[in-house]
Amino acid sequence: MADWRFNLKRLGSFIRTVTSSKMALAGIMILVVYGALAIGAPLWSPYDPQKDVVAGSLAPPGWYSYFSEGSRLTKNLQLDPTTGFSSDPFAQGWKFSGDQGLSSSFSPSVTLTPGSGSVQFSLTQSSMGSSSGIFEKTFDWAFESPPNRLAGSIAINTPDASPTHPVSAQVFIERISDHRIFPLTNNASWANPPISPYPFVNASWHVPITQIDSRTSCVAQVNTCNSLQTVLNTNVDPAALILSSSGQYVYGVKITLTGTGNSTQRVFLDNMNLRLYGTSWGLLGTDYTGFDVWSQLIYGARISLVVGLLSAVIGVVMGLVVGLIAGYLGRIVDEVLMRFTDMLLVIPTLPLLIVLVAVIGNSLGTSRLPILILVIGFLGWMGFARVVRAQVLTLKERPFVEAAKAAGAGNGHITIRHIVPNIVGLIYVNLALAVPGAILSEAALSFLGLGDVTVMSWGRMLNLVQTYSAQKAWWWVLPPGISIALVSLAFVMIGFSLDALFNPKLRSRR
Amino acid sequence: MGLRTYLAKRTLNTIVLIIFVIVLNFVIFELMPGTQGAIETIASNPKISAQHQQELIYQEELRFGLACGRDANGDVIPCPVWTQFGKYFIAMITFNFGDSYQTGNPVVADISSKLTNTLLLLGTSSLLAVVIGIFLGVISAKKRGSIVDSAMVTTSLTTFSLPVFWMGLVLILVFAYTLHWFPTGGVSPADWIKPGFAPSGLLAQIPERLRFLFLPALTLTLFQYGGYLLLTRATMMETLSEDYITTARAKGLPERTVLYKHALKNASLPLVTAVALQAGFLLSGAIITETVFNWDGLGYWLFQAIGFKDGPVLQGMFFIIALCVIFANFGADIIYGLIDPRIKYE
Repeated sequence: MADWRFNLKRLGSFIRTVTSSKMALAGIMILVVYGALAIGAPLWSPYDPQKDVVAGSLAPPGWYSYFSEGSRLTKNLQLDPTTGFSSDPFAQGWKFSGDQGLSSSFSPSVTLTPGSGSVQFSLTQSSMGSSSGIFEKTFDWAFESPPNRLAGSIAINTPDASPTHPVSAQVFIERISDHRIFPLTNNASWANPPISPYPFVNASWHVPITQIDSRTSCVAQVNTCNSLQTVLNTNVDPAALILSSSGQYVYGVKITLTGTGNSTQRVFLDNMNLRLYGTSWGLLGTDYTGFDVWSQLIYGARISLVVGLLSAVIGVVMGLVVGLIAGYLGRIVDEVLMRFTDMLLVIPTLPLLIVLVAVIGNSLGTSRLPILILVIGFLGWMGFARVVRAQVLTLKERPFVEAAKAAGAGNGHITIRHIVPNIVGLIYVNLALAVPGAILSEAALSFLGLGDVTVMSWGRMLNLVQTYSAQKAWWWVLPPGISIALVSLAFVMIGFSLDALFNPKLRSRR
Repeated sequence: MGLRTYLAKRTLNTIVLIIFVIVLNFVIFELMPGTQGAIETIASNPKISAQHQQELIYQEELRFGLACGRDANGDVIPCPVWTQFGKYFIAMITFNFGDSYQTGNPVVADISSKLTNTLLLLGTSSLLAVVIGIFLGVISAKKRGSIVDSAMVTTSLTTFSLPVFWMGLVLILVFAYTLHWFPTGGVSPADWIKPGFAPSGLLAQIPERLRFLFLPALTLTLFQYGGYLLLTRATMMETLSEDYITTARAKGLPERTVLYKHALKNASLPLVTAVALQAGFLLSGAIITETVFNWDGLGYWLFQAIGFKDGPVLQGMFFIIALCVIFANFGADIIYGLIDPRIKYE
C-alpha cells in the first residue's frame, strides 16, 4: 500500500520539478492547447473538414471584413434554416398569390424530408384551363458585393398531372430595386405523376427537379436540368449578375396547373430553399472547395499528434531494444547490429520514406495512416540505438552490475532491473525529441501526396494549397505551418528541459 | 594505421554500403507486396493494347528477374529469388532501370535531362548558404552573448526547423502573390516553349531565368544556412579560446586577420565535412522545394513519379540519391583524411 503512495509522491515531485522550468512549462502549455483542440475537435467545430461546404471557395476569415481590404466581403445567407418545411412556411415569410380557385396550405403529412411537411397547392374541382400562382419569400442582401456562389433547391410532386392536364414550374429571383426577374430554371413541365416511385414518406417526388447552382453545370437528372448560365443566357457569374448590389430580393416559384373541371388538381412542393455562399467565413475562412479551414486545422492536429507520438514511441522502443542487445551482448552481435545501424543512418530518410510509402501504400487499402506511422517509426530508431548502446557499454562495467552478476542474476534480469532504470531519463528525452521529426516526416509525406487522403492532416492541408495553387490564401497557408512549428518547438523545449533535469551537469553549465 | 589503409577501409565500406542499398532496393521494390501491382500500372494505360500490355509487363519482369522466360504454353516461369537478385543487381550496377511509365524514355536518359536544373538550384543555394552561414557564424561567435548573437541563433534555429515546403509556400505568398516581384514557379516563362518567344542566346535569358531561380534558391538557402551558422559559431567559439588566438591578438594583429586568417582557417575543418555530409539532407530539401516551385528538376520529377506510380523512376531515383549520399560521405572521409594532419586513422 505504501508503495503506490510513494510512487505518487515521486511523480508529484517529478512534475513539480519539470514545471519549474519555464521552457518546459511553455512547451506543456502549447501541447495542452493543441491537445485540447485535437481531442475536443467536434466541440470546437461542428463542421466536417472534408464534407461540409460551409461558404464560398477561398473565403477569407470573417474577422477580415473589419479591415479595409476586407470591407467588401459578404457573409452566408440561407433563406430557411432547414432544407424542408419543418413548420408552416406561411408563418415564416413565405407568401402565395394565385389565380381564382388556386389555393395553398401547409401539408404536414406529405413530405420529402422525414420530420417535416410540404406545401400543397390545390386547384378547385370546378376550374377549367390553366391557372398559375406564385409562391415566394422576400430576403435582404445586405452587402454591396455579390456572394461567391448561389445554390437553390426545390422538389415537386405532381400526383394529379396527366398529358392533357400538365403541371409546370419555374424558379426565379426578382431584384426589387429594378424589378428584374431572373429565371433560375427553364419552365419545367410534368405531364404525369412521378414515374419511378421514390421510397420517400407518403409520396413519390420528381427528385430533385433541379439543383440550382451557380458553380456547377448541372448533374444530369431530369430534362429541366441546365447550368444556370445557360438558363440565364449569360457568360458571367450568375451569382454576380443577380445579386449585384444590396437590397431586397424575392426567391420564388411560379406554378401553373391545368384544371379538369371535375377533379381537384394538387401539387406538392418541398425542400424549397436558397443558399448564398458568402465570401468570408468563420475563424479561419475556407479552402478551395469551401471546407472550413478551422475544422481542418483542429482535426489535422489529431493526425499530426497521433502520428508524431506513435511513431516516436515505435522508434524509441526499437532503438532501446537494439541498443540494449548490442551494448549488453557485445562482440559479434554488437558489430553486426551497429554496422546495420550505420548503414541505415547513411541512407537519406525522406527518399527512403517516399519509396516505402509509395510501394507499400499501393498494395493496401484506402487508409494509409497505420503504414505512415509504422514506416516513420521504423526509420527513427538508429540514432537512439547508438546512444543507448554507448550508455549500456559504460553501465555494464559498473560495480552494481558486477554485484548483480555475482549474485547470480541472469542477463534479462540485469538488463531490466539494473540497466534500463539507469537510462529512463534518456528514454524520456529522446521520446520528446523524436516527436518533431516524426511530425515533420508525416507533413512532408502528406505534402507530397503520399499521406492518408481519408483524413485531414496539416501536411495534407498544404498539399491541397499546392494542388490548387492557392498560395495567396494566407488564412489557409499560415495556420498549418505555424502549428507544425509550434508543436515541434513544444516537444523540443520539453525534451531540452528533461535533458537538463536528468543531467545535473548540463543543468549547472547552462 | 597509415593513410593508405584508411582509404582502403573507407572504399571497402563504401562498396558494402552500395551493395546494402541494392539489397534494400531489391527488398522494397521486388519482394514487397505491391511490386507486381506497380508493374501492372502500365496495364491501366488505355493507350496500350491488351496484348502489348502483357508483353510490356513480361519485359519488365524479365528485366528485373521476376520472370525467367516462358514455358511451352507461353506462361511465365517465375525465377528463384537468387537468380532474381542476381539479375536485379546487374541491372542496378549498369544503371539499367527500365523505361519510365510516364514518358517511355529510359530512366537514365530522363535523369540526365533534368540534372542541369537541379544542379543549378542546389549549387546556387548551397553556395549562398555556405557563404552566408559561415559569415554570420563568425560574427555570431565574435559577439557571443550579445543581442546580435542570440537573434542570429534564434533565427537560424527557426529556419532550420520550419518545414521547408511551408517556407516555400509562404515565400510565394509574400513575394509572388502580394509583392509580385517574382514568379510563382517554373524554370522559365511559360511562353518560352513557343518558338520565337525565348530570347536567343543564353546571355539574354539570364535576367529572366534569375528571377525564376530566386525564390526556390532562397528557400533552400534559408533551409540550409542555419546549420552552417550554428556549426561555425560552435567551432569558432572553441577556436577563439585557444592560446594562439590570444598570441595573435597580443601581437597586435587586426581583429579581422585574427578572425578569418587564424581562427576560421582552423575552425573550418568540421565545416568542410559538414558541407559534404549535408548531401542527404539537401536532396530531401530539394525534392520538396522543387515540388513547391514546380522547378523542372529531379525532385519535381520524383514527385510526379509518385503520382503516376512510376516504379522504374522511383527505384532509379532512390538508387541514385542513395549513391550521391554515399559518395558524399566517402568524399567527406577522404577530404578529412587528406587535409587534417592531426587526424589519427583508426
